[in-house]
Amino acid sequence: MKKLLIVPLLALMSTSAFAKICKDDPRLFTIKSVIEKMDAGETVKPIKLTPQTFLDMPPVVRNKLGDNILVYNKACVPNQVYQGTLPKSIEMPFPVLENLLQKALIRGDRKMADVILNQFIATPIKTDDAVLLISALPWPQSALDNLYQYKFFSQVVQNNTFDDNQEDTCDYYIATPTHIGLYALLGGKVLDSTLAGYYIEDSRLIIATENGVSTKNTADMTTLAQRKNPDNYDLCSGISFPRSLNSLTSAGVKIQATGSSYPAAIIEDLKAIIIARNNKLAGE
Amino acid sequence: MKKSNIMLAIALVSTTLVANAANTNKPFGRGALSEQQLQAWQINIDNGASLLNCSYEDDPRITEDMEGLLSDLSNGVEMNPVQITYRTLLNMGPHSRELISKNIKIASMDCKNIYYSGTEIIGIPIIPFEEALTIMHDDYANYQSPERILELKKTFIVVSMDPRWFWAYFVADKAHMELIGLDYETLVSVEHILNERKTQRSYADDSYNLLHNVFLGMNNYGLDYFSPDGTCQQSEAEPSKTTIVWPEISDEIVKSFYNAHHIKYKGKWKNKVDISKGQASIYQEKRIDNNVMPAFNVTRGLTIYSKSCEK
Repeated sequence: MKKLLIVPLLALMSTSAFAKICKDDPRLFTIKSVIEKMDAGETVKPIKLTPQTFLDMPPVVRNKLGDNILVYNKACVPNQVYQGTLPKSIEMPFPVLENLLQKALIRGDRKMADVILNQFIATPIKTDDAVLLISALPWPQSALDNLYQYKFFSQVVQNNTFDDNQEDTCDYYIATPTHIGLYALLGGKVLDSTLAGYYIEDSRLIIATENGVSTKNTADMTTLAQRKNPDNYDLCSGISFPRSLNSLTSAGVKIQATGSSYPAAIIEDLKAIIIARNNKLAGE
Repeated sequence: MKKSNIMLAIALVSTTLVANAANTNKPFGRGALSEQQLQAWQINIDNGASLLNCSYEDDPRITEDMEGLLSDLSNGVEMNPVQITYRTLLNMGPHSRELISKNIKIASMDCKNIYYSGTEIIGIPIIPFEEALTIMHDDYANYQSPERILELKKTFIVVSMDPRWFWAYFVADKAHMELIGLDYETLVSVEHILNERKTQRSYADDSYNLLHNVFLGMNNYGLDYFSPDGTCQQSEAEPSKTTIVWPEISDEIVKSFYNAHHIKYKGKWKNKVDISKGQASIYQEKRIDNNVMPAFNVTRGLTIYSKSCEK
């Protein structure tokens, strides 16, 4: 069973890979002197930045440098910044964008968070990798609070019960945003039309793809919530299953509910669907 | 006072009246930990940074020849950027900081270049908890300003740590806080501010929880027994009693700490002798070889599992 470990380390390794190709202007180590020259009215060549450093820049320094900034795109071609914005959207790996957005939110830098969401797009990924993004964002609370406060995410009350038995619903609880939710928010799309199936059982969301990749999001993996029924000791998953499924759909994943409650059976269901579809196409 | 002005003030004003010697920039520099404990901690830091192929430390020129370094910076001598930890930068007087800022990068455990404009940090450094704790402690000791603490909180992230390092060094009662080198009451105040408590929380019965709550109040990357390749890993290796700061720590405390961080475990510490009620426990330690983390060289019967293990 493949697992994609979304941790800050992964984000950093992706950052390093990008930085090997384009590097920050070495004048950044002496940026104080650069700003002093600009303040003194001297002409200074534009500073070339990787997108990461551009997005990490606090407002005071951004305002000082103004449009004297060039930002590298994916092909390492520097783009002129105009009034704080880039001429075209830049595509970047999702872990890198996630890390940058997290830091902007920790700083309380709403303007830069807006830039990330509006001027950057997450690189397309395979469906097999997308389904593994159904996990809670392991962000510091201050970053999550700003995610809601800036209205990038709405607060969703948790209710993952499969049946309508109100007594088994989860207690009032704000669902934690997920990686897949953020990926969809960053305009991420899947590369392929791999089929995926899901089944919701109590506090678990079980997903499998036709390629055999599966995940089951259990209550243990995320922050927990109680049930309204005090006699029901099963804990609720901290993420919203409906929102996660919607996010997968937004990312272009071809996902449908199945009647099977474990991954191997879901995969068999998907194979049957594919065979039936192929037979129909052949018949036509 | 506007937020941006507070940051300017934090940057420009000499932040530390409490710590004023170069050696207090070293981890636990004001404490009374043993040489073995200090070395073990340093290896922990070095290993963490080396994962991404960098070193986490002040440029040796800062401790070996500060005067010469400042003179060269003042004269515009060409040199490699001076790497400096966030703690050391904040501890500097305004004149030294002014000069260091001419050619600088702030150390970060993720090995990223963190730049500094003289007043603003470009990026967010990832720093060890001990350093974060000391920064917050010193700022509150000097200024008693909740606003400053909350602004400082936004300027760094605490690096992820193996939980065994945490309970070995930072799960310690009030009596042992001196070994770490920081004032207990100051840290209680810092904890209240970081967690934005409306009412005072008493630590009279569980002072050993204080630093854990300070950690939770900071922006942090969590405590985790990390599996580098994503496979299920387990370990019974633990720090020996000569490494642990609080000798009276019990496995019940360690287990409740693991529970708080959803770290799976099995077993318990085995007692060495029969214990009378009210006596501190003495636990059996069996030595083991550990090339990966030499400081974790005993087992007491408790095994932990990485999150990648199936239930």
